[in-house]
Amino acid sequence: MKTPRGVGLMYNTSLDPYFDLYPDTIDYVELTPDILIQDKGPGQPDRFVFVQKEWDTIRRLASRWPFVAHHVGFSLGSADYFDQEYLDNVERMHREFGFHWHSDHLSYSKLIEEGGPEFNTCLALPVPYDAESLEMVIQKTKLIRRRLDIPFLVENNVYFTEVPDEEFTEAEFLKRLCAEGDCGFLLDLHNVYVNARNFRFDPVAFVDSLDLQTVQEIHIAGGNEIGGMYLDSHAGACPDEVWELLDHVLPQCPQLRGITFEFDESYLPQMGFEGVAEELIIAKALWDKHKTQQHVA
Amino acid sequence: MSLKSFQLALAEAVANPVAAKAYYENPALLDQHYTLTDTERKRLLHMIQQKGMRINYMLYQTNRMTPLHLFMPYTLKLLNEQTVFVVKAFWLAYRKTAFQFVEEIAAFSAFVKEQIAQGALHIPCLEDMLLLEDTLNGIRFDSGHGETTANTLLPAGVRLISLRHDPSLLLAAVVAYDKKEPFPLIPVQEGYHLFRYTDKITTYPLDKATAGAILEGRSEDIPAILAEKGFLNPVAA
Repeated sequence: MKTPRGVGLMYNTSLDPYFDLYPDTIDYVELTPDILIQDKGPGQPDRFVFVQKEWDTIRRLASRWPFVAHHVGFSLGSADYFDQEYLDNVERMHREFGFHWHSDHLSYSKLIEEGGPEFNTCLALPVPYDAESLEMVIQKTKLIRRRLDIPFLVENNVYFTEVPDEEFTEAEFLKRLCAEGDCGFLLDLHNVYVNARNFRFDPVAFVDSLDLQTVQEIHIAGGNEIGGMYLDSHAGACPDEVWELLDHVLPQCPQLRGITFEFDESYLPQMGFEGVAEELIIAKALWDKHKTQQHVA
Repeated sequence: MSLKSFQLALAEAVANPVAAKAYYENPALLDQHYTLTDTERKRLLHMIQQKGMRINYMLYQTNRMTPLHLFMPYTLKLLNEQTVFVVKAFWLAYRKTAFQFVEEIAAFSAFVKEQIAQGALHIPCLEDMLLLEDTLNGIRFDSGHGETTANTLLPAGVRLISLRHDPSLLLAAVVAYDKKEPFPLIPVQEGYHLFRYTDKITTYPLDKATAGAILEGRSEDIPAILAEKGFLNPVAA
């Protein structure tokens, strides 16, 4: 299938009927394979277990739309640890599904203590923007890029605690990572909005500080406020501020391949399939407004 | 090594607010467990006292509750007011989780059984409810029947179980259970049952002789009605 350009939808199992109801709203489907895989852990025989029924659904969808993969298990920010078997499995899936690009987050969630098995932090934790972390993540993105031989993108993180006294700003870190790590940038505008709202900075000034030339994908989503902080909960429609950010950055992202809408399946009853379609239609209108020959070439 | 140590310390702080508070109040404790640079120690202490740390605690706990809510809802319902106490004790005992749902719910089930065995939990029907949800999850995640002769006789979605209460009464009671009232008294009625899960749960009571025949693989001694009702493989009947 031709490399997708346009608007995509992050897959979750509640969406299965959506694809027949509103097929024209989607140019590609983004999948987090981890949600459909049971991982028995490093070193275990037949470590990755695929539930047949769910993957049959993915195969059917993959015959209709291009797929891209958004992983949560590389744990790019983990010091002294890289899960080689996880990469082997991603490569196997890549051979079957022909994902048009892959991505993961600039954070860590897997750790190993001396002599112990891998364990999970149960939430994505921030990587300090220092030279040591930068070099470590660069080695990993280069390795992944070499193995998969197609674009690998890294997503900017959402965080609820700031790491003080870092050597780089987030923008500098991401720019260096993309330049030296042979990777592209997945700009999650909702993450920017969440961080800006919680830590009271100007999101427009922040996105203007980024190297938008490296952006190959944009994520958009909604969230909600709990305990005095705004969360990246993918809780439905995008806030107006996210649409404004999208409108602002699109003309500055010449390498952009797609805009992906993410939402958590637990919010489907409130949102409805119509609500999902509405978000994709708005995103498509903005894509059409700003797309250039370079985008669709 | 130092960055890894910082990451381990932050992960511990997020998973264990009590430890985080202790580190904040007595930073020397950090040095007993981790090898941190001055910058990393300052960073960690600064992060621990930020308002957003409460969100990190909440996200950790919400994420860890997710598999239990999804796959052990009736056990949690029976635990009722003791849920928070039991779950937090489980997290303390099982801190380093791989966070794979199948493993997480199996570990929680084993933990609760251990609490019951040690006399720390006295909740009517809880043991049977754990067994029912273990069985259901075993079918759901296709973890097989175990090494018994029943393997060849029972279809993939059917298991032979032994309970102290009638599973259909127990399931009906827990579904209707209003947690403000005491759990209804269900008469003890020890026995074997076939448990089937496809898109819904069905159970079928067995006498001891039939259960024995299934366990020993004597298909000739099993009533034909079990195959007719889909509880037994047709070839085996």
